[in-house]
Amino acid sequence: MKKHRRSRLRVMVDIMRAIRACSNEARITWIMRDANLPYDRLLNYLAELERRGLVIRKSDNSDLYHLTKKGMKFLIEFEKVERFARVFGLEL
Amino acid sequence: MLALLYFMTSCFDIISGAVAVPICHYALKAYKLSKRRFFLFISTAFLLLATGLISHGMILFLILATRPARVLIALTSTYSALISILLELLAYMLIAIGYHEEIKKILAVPLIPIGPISINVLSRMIGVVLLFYITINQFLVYVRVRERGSLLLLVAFISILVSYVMHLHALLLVKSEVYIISRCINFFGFLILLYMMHYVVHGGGIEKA
Repeated sequence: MKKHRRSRLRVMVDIMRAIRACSNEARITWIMRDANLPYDRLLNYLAELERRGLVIRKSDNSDLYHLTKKGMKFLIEFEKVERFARVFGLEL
Repeated sequence: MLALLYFMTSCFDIISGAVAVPICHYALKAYKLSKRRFFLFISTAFLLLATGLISHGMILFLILATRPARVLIALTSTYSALISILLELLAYMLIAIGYHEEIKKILAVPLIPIGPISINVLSRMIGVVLLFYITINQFLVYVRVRERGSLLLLVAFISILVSYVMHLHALLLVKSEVYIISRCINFFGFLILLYMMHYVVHGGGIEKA
């Protein structure tokens, strides 16, 4: 079966979903497993998500991440648009 | 009787136009997120639909409220209907192009008999062809994804297609009752679109990829 390469946006949303699935407080190892990403790539994505204000690290030396209010809002909105796209048989 | 018909058409058009607005909004959001041209086509198409329907509905409503001279009524209602149908055609053309680009399913377009027929009849004929193409593509989408949202969109397109066929029938045979039924079916199609948007906005269980 042909596997589709995930877009950058899709990977970031998968990371955010992984964090939300762990009661909005997830360790890097859990995110790696849920979002299906290697450690180095995950760190890059997490840095970008932090820069955009969508996720936040609990403290500087912690590996616990959680979604910000902006991140939660973005994820909810993304899911609405995703459902809309699926109506037309498309994936975002 | 005529006033009732104007009132019904005006209400149906304004509500249908209002239904098209959130679809345009979500398609634009989807375009911004995915940069897929298909969503830009859908967004523009529904913007045109909303503009045409709302402006036509408002003009009819104004005619009802102000009751101008008969000549003015005939002129404004004819031209606003013409503009509305042209915008609708353009909208369905954009949706058809979007489906064609995205799904790459080529369907032979039947030849349209162009003879001594009015613009209204011709535009309805083109509309039927475009809607038929759109409906076939949406049917293929539904067969592939088997999701309720896709089914709702398919039913909406089928309703609008049926309304177009009935409208054409009414125009050719000059039957006002068929016209009223066609307007009702068209409105039903837009109500289905409204329900589809409710399903999209308030959740409908996304299957995890």
